Amino acid sequence: MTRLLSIILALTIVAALGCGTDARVGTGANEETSRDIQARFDVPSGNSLYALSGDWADQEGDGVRLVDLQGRPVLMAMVYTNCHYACPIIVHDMKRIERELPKDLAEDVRFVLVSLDPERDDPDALSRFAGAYGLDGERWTLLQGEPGDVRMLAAALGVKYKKEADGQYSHTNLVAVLDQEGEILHREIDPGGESTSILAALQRGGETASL
Amino acid sequence: MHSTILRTWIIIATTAAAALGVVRGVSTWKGSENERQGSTEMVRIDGGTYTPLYASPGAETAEDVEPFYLDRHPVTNAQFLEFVRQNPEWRRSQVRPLFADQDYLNHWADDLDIGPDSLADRPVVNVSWFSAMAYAKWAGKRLPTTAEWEVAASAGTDVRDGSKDEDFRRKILKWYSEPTPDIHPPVGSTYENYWGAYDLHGLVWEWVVDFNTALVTGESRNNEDLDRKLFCGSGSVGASNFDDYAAFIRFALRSGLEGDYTVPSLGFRCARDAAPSYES
Repeated sequence: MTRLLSIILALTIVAALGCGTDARVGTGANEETSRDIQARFDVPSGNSLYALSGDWADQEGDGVRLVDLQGRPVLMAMVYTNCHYACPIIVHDMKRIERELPKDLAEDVRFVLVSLDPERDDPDALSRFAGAYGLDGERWTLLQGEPGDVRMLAAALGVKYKKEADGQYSHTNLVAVLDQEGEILHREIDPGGESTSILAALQRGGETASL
Repeated sequence: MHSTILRTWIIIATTAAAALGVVRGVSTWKGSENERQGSTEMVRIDGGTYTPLYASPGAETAEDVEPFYLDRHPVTNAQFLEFVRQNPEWRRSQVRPLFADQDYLNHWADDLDIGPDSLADRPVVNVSWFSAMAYAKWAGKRLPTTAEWEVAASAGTDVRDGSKDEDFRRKILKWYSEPTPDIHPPVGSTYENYWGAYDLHGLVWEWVVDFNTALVTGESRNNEDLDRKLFCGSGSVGASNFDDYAAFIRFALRSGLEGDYTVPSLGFRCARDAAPSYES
């Protein structure tokens, strides 16, 4: 009798102590920490932009996570489809680089345009934009994301942007070369005719990542 | 006889265990709320209008700011310690270089050691924008926008709008001209403003969520035309208010920052929407 009693007593006390603890680390219900991503995908390096979480959509409407860009060198810029000034120039600069790529790189490099204007640039708008500029879906990825994730990526790239009252965005015209792990190799503001350093950086990015 | 004693003991035991569970549960629930943010209260800012320093000509220059809640004082070392205790990836030795430069929390003794106890209630500094954003999210809050912060900070001690108060302006500029102390005074030690918020001027600079909306080029420091090659938006923008030199200083500071920068005079405080909402 007493032994049964002490077992019951012990169990109830243990249960009471156990249900007090709260081990949840609150970073937000839907948010993965970089630690989670690292565990899942083994993001290799501390400087990789692909440590940023977030759910993006591409011009096909497919879900994309930045970490999906791993494995290929990337030329990335942030633009928006209603841009009348410098964005068309940036896209033309990137297309020219696409043409100038040496054969061994041509298959590899991915060109990524991230919209600063996710409210208007949904997959349909991105798809129309890609069509208008002749951007081959095999190589070009256009992304729409949550405004907060756009802000994060811009901060990681060093892009500054501001929505003006007329709906236009003022923003730095920056292209970035990322290596296969998503680390920034090179950044260039307003590349214009200059493509030598970008091509050199893409070449480095195309080399197999060392351990 | 035995079954009566047993029944009595079971009743006592389960009651005691239940009471213990309730006490543990309640204190842990409250504990995690408090642990998340120490005992920071928030004050309600009733909103207002903010005139950005640089605006496109012809555009609406004043932005409406909705009412919101703001931390009464900047986040302290003790509060930030609790954050990194619960989130190891934000500890000094483990943080991703992407998210913070090498001076992150370099005023602390170690990953989980602020140093002397006297530092506990000082504003945390040497924190990057990414780490401040992560803290805010962990605390169930967010960072204020530039407009929100400026509206809150434009209040004088007794008046909602201190922007016409020359004395107040002079005081702010005097604070700005003083060198950064090695050890900051504790939070709450400067002044309380109209809304009940402390230290919006005079203690540390503070991160805002949209710090990277502040655009400055080499050209625009000298003249008002932003180089069209560099920026998309409407060509020429001009500074709207030449009187508020302190605002210039803050604008210049923000435009020089990157997300991973840590600065010994830069901390932050959190904000929250006034209406309940779910934020991305």
